[in-house]
Amino acid sequence: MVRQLRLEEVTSALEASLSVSDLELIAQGGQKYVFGCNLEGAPAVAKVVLLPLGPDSVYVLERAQREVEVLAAIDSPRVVRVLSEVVELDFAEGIRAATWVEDRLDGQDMRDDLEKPWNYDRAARLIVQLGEALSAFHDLEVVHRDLSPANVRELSDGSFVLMDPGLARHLAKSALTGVFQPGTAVHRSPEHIPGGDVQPVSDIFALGILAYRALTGVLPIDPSGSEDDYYRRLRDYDSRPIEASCSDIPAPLRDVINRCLKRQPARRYLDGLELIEELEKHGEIFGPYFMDA
Amino acid sequence: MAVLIQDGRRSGHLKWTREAIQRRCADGAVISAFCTPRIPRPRQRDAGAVVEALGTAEVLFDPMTHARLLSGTNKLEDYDTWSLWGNSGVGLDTTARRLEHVERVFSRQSELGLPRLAPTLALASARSSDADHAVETARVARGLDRHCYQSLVGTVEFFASGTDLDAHVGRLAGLRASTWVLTLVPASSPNLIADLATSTVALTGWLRTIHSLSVRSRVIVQNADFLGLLASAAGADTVGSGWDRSMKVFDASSYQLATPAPRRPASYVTQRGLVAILRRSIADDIQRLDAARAQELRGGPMPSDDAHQRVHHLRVIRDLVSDIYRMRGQEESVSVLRAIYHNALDNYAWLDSQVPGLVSASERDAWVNYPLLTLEQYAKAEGIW
Repeated sequence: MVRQLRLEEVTSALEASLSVSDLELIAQGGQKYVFGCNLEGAPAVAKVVLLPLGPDSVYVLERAQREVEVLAAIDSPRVVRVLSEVVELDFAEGIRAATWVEDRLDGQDMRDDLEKPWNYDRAARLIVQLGEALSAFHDLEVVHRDLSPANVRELSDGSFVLMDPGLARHLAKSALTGVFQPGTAVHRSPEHIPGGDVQPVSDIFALGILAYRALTGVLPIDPSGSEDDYYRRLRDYDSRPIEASCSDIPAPLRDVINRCLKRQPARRYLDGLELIEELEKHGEIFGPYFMDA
Repeated sequence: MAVLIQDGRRSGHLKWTREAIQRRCADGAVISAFCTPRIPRPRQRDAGAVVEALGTAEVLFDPMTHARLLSGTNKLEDYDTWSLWGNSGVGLDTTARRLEHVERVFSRQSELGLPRLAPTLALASARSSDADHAVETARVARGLDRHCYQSLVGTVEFFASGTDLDAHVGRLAGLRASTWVLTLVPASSPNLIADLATSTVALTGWLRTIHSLSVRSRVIVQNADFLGLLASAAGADTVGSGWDRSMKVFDASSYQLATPAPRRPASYVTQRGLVAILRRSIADDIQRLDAARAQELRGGPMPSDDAHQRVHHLRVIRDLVSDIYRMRGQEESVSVLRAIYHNALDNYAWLDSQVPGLVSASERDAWVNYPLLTLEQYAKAEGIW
């Protein structure tokens, strides 16, 4: 059995390897720690992922490296900024971890704010700004693959930032399909069904789910029953139109959400860039929320 | 909106093609690697001469890789003049083969001054290694020329595969090709056109695919003929047609040496008002019955011979495609085609009242009832019925 790491062991290793200070534990779950810290006088977070023993450690380390590589390549205020490379930490008794530093974002992630339906302006802001974030990913031919409430943060200035592309995939550097499909349950696209091919258009579907859920408090595809049942609904049925729950929704917002949620991928916006092109046509609804507005 | 004449092997093919284009019954032609050689052969014009002869008309060179890779294809005397494969061999199943082949195809097209049309495989399943190889081939093509035309070829099983088909089309749409060239491969049958017309599930999937791709791209449907009317209603702007069966429908046997002894083709007359091509003896019977009504049904004077029938047929197809496609929205296009089919059913009913059994119920079904059912299924699913 692997022994439990003491917090002080982790913080001293971080201080030594990443030159961070003032470490405080913000979150801990599974094999991951998130620390608030100070990097060269600026607030930051240090993320630590414990590597499992055995061959899976290679996969976990690669995933951490991919997350950092993706973030380092993206220069967008809509995507969290990475401030270091991945560093491997070696603890006593063979325990290993991967760590890196990101910008510390204020505000809260969407998980804490889905109880009450959002107003239309806020949902429009979400779509524009995550659309801009996805454009930055897709422009590099990278798919986020896990656009879910935990990975979207609303800052205190009202802007949205996309985080945690730990499951992101570079289209040109990876195999076409696989049995394992990543993503957060109920926030997956039809292409996430095992055997499918997750593409930029799949991130668009996930954005549609987020917007739909924010406005209605429910999911566009009924998640009840077994995973197989859910997959069948995801694959075979169109989502309920947003206007069925929001009768007074402005037409451009309605049309954008419904198109994001089209079951057939070719009927959606193919990627963030195409989505943004569409949003730009409807300045009266989406115009105020663009980066250059 | 256009009609392209598919390639053929008959000795007058180029002359007839030129005449049809000059008479504005067609807008261009497709050169097939199986029908036109790269270098002149006895009694055959080479592709360069064909392109020159067709002047400013739209011309595509289709490498027909999907036909070359079908099991049973062995009629290669013209095909082999194109030297479309590299050292790594024939197939699209490895990176090296894909790259070598696409480079050679593009090179031949550039030599002819024609648009670059990417090769592909004929897919029987949207979830298969072949489907992955087709996507990879398309990506290689896009990597070499992001403005190239792309191909999608599938069997009736492929186009009937529902959500798997839609997922595959989603992968293809991401390539953002300016033009998609689609070919529907019917199941092997002695009566390809009629049997294909009854494949309503596959045809509905084919229309759904055309609809999806036409949102961002121009869509050309090859070897479609009267089924091209459905394609036009779903968003295709160009339909492939011609005078022989292998031009009107994709015919795998036309790429095989072991074909029956040549037979004299029967004589047919296209009937615009019946959306059908019927035997000349039936056309004669209708003419005797009511000459004025017969002319109305044909959509023109009785073609005096096969040469006139070729022109008449292409003109009917082009006019109908034009009537359907020029509508601004797909709902209107569907409505126009629906009216064409309903009018045809009225005409069949009139014929049947005059001479019961002159046109068989199975022919009426193949030409109108099944296509109308396909249109209805497609349009209802799209919410435009």
